[in-house]
Amino acid sequence: MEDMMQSVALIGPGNFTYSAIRIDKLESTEYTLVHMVVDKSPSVFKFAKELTDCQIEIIKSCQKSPRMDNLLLRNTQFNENIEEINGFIPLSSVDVNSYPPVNPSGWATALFDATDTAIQSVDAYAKNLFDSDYKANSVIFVVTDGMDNKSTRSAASIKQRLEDVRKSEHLESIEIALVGVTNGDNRLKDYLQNLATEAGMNKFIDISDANGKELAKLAGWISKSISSSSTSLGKGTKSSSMQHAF
Amino acid sequence: MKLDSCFRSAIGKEICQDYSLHGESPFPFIIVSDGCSSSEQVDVGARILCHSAHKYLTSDIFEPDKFNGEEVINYAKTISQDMGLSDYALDATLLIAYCINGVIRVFMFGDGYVIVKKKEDIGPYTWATTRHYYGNAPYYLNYLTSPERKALYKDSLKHETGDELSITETIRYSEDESGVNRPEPKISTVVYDVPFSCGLLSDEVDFVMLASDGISSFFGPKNFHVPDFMIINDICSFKNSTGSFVKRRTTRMLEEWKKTMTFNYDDVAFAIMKME
Repeated sequence: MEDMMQSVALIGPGNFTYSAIRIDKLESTEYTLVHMVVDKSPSVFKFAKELTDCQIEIIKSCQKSPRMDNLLLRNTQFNENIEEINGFIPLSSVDVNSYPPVNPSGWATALFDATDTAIQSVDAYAKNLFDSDYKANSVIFVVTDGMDNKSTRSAASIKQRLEDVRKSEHLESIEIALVGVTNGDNRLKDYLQNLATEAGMNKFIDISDANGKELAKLAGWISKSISSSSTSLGKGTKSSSMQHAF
Repeated sequence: MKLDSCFRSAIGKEICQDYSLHGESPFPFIIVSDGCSSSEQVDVGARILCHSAHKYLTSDIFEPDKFNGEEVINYAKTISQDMGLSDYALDATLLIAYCINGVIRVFMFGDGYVIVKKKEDIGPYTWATTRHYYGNAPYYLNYLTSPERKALYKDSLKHETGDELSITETIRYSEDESGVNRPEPKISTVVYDVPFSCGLLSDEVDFVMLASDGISSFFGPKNFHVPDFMIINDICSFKNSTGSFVKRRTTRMLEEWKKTMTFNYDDVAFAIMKME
């Protein structure tokens, strides 16, 4: 797989890079770029296993989709740093049996930076795809259980980034959902809901009880959003893939 | 060798009457067909014709040096009749190229484009051959299945050309890399019912593309007719040759032209054989 990948540095604060399958290895005409951004700060330790299961369920579900060959998945995890678990790779190449679990670590939550670099990586790779005649759209899912306390970027800069990406038209559409694992903390819920609004995100989902059942439900919702987004690619429809009820 | 093909409807048309096909069995091949828009059920007919041609390549009676169009149309006719289609359903052109033992053979029954780019050390120009039939009415293989229609076509051509019964064939060239030099087109007269054919050494060729005459149907504002070579250069500027590379290029090309309110008013079909 290594000789099939390329690594690209992102311009901006911090030393962020993303990796992706080389464009000349992509056989289809269009791709949905799926980006998972998962919090791995210490506070997620109570439901780290459920979070891992949730990710694996999403991947499994996408691997059964008739659109599997048109999906590229990137996954990052963050605490005070951002770690790329896998770059943009075809779903078919992901082995769920050996997929890295969420291992809580670190001491802080760089939520804004992780979100912003995810959007940046999507945009940069989408431009490469566009320049090579591929069509693309994107769905990004950010999962966190806490407030930002480390980032150099802000909700406003995320909003600006999203606007710039939408203006550039390298992507047919880009949608982003913020999933707040609030466990009934209303202050956190309000904070994340406001963040989603201020940053111009498409959807906020509140997980008030991070049990296996709720996170399985989340996996189902995310899988459906991915499928819906990929199906709409190239059709010229503007309907949101995240409008269905959670 | 990389193979790909695609077809797209003309602006405002729901059903595409062009068709294209590619594959590697029994050997690499590409096929294009353009159904006559004034005949019935030609969308189905063009597909039957392409698949019949492929079937013929796999048959015992196929000889690599001689592609027998009559065998193909006769086979297609039996299918078409079994399906209860119109007698006119097979009024469609047929362009085919296949590569056996390092030789690419190309045949064109009716009109369309055969586009060839040689490797850079062999020649700097892309060339495209096309044929011009009177009244834009190509000689279809399907006429071989109807003595009446065959005679009618001949009579009507005789009315235009006298006893010569000829049509013109043009080979046109791209500019070279400097963008300055472009050889003059070569125009010749050929007998109307003899298909275009040529053989190429695959070692010397970068790609062979077959295209329907939809290439010459692009019009923009103020009725500006986009020269066919502009479309040829555009469609051939693929960014890589992975997977569905011609489908990607065609989609993007049509989108870009659309931005300038330029549309293809006839269906387009492409199939390509690109050497690696």
